Amino acid sequence: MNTTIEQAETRASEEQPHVVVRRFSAWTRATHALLAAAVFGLVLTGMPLRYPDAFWAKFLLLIWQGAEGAAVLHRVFACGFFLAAAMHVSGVIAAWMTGRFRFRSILEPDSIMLRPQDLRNIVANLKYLRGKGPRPEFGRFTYWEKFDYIAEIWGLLVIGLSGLVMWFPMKAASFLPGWIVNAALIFHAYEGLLAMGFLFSIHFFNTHLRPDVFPVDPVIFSGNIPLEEVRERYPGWYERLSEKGVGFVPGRRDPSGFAMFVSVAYLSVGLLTLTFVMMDAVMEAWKYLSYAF
Amino acid sequence: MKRRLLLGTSALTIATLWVLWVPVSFAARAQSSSTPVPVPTSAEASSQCLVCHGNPAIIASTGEARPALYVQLATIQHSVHSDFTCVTCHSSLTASMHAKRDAARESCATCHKAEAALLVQGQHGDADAVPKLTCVTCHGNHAILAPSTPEFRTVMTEECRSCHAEMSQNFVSGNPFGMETHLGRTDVAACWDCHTAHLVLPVVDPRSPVNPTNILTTCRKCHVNAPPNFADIEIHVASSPVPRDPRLRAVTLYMLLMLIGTFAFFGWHTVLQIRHEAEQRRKRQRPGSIGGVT
Repeated sequence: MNTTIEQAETRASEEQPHVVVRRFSAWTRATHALLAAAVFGLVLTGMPLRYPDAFWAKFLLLIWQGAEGAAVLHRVFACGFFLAAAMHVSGVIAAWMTGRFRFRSILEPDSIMLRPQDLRNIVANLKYLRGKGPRPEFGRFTYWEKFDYIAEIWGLLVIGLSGLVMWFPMKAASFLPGWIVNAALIFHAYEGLLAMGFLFSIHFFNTHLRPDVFPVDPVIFSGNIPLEEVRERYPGWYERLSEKGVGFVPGRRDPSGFAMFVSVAYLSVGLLTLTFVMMDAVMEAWKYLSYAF
Repeated sequence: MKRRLLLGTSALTIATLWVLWVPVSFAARAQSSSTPVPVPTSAEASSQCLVCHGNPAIIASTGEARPALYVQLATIQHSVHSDFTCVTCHSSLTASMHAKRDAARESCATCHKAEAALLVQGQHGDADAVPKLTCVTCHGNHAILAPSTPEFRTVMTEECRSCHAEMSQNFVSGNPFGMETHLGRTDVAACWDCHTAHLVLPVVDPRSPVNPTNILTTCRKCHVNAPPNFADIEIHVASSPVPRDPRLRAVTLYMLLMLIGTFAFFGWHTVLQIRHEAEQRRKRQRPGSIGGVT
């Protein structure tokens, strides 16, 4: 099935206008879809508890039939969140069992795990963005994309474990000291704010709302990325793909109308929620500042 | 054949009459066994009082504003004591009309003996306290709510808060329990479920349910199998606004640093990135648009 760039480009010019590279498998995209849905549900049911006196919290609680409803739905969405994590882990194991993934490859340049090169890339890219040097030769994942992934794992551990401690406080207290349950609330409250703020601003703008792909990066729906974009954005990956001559397929670039509708709805709800929550977060920050000085 | 039909019909009739008679007899028995509440020509007596006290103008009638003089019929009708007359509680009014002390505060104990006795043994029953706490301080006077209603739990939580403001705030911000109570959830523990309602004792008193030696027993009233560590969970996290407990303070400061650090770096980074990308796009489009020919 794999073809060289030349073959793919010839075929593309005959059949379809673009040559694309496989970036995300169907399983990965399904995981992202479930994760996105779960995160939105968790934010919209959890934030009214974080800022119970905000006007938008009262509106959301009306939708969820009060604090009881929000509490139940929050746990339902949490299960979706854990399921997404389980999907990812089982996907990796399945890929390893079928030989499509080797654990050794996480040390290679196109791995999503952090490498020493990423630290050099951060420095080089910050110079480049201010017009003071060349663009670093990014591999398959840039360091900010890797951060999205690693922050997700870290976030799942912090918010998932602290959530479980509060969900089952009796089980937790049977082998943990009591103050850990109090600490869990603090971890959960701030990690929730951090995760929501990061996803709805940094991730949205870095990945979906940037001028080149506004309003949504179609790669998360099609799984395919146009060849010219790989060449431009991930030159290191492009080189290695060319050497191997694999992974190029002619294909469609634009996401379907339905996908666009779903993404625009997600992005709008996300940005609106972010605006409202941030108003209260700023007031909270003001409280901290007036305490500190 | 005919005899069987007659026998069957009469048996059915007797059974039907017996079934119909059972609830009637029970109702009659229940009515006769209940102690007669003193109900002196109720509606008439109360409506006489309300001729003056139901008029809002009475508030200013003595020259100074006394809002308590005004009593709305609707308020009383909402109360669990809606079948009382005014003088059921304001009992001394019958002896001397408009006596200075109308005995209303003491009259609760006429029926609620046990609660009144417990109250005076605890801190809330301190006779020297100014103002002295009585039943009506917490329960109100004309709109008494039934303890079984969700509304009672919401209103009484507010009553506790009106004096114990800091403790209430620490309860609300310190644990999911308190948050949900604050949001109107009524099926979780409220103040008096742990602290007791009438016999309110200082924490150092060994009889207090929140005395360190009794806390686990108190938790186990609902959390039947609670492990010993469960009692160490702080229910009111003292904060100002960062928690005062050094361990919780460390956790809070760590999370705040994470929050500020992540947003500071990636906020700056994202702005740089978007600006750069927009610039690149402008550069790419300009030659074409100026030339006008493609």
